[in-house]
Amino acid sequence: MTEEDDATLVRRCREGDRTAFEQLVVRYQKPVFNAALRLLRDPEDASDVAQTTFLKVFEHLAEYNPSFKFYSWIYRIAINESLNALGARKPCEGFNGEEADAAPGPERQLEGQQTGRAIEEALMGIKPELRTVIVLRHFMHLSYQDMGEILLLPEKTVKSRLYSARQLLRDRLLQGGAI
Amino acid sequence: MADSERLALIHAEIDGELDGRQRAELARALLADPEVQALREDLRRVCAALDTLEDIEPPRELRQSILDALPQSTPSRARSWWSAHRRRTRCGDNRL
Repeated sequence: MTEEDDATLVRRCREGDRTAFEQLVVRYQKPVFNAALRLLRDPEDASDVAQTTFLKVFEHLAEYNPSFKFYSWIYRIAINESLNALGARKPCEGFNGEEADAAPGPERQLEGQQTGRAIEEALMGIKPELRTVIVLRHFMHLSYQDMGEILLLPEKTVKSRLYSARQLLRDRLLQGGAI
Repeated sequence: MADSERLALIHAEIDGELDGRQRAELARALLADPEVQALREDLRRVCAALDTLEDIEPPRELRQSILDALPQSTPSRARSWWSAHRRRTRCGDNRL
């Protein structure tokens, strides 16, 4: 059986086929969860964001314009929900680093673990809008054009944010001796 | 060449976005300035380090909890443009 494309699944969802929506969940739960995790650094919060994202997708499916990529739409919702969750955190409330570090599993080597932790900490130290472009580019492997669609920004601005974000990460990682 | 132009070339190289002319410009800048070389190496290391972070499997129960949270009714197909617009803004489309 061939895998149905997003547009077909969306059309079936709109016709009331809940199994089609389930297929979209299976397809997108991992990238949505990971995007939220990288922005929030808390697996529980990331799960909450994923759940809210899919609920919003379901509720607003009738408004989705199929001439745009479905993944741009769902990622935009996921990013905005993550930023909302960040905004709702109390100033003193950090992130659950212990859980986030435990999540990758035992296969990670010590050196990689230390580098990984340093990167996660550096990421959490930069502004959310800069972290967002790093997440979209380096973890979700999206093009400048897709990033612009998701963030509703011109490509030029996307690039400018990405460059600033990388340079800030560089400064932080150099300071911490991680690179 | 201005610093910002050199920086843009380094980032574009990392992203695989350089054309032939830009590649030659970057090569000249690298030869001419050790600081540009060092910056390029740093940024490449940052990006390599980012690539070491692997995707994590979501919790096993996530899929079911998403499906359980869905309302029973299917979203209606027809909505006015204005209704869609208002909902879109609530959905956070214009936030970033």
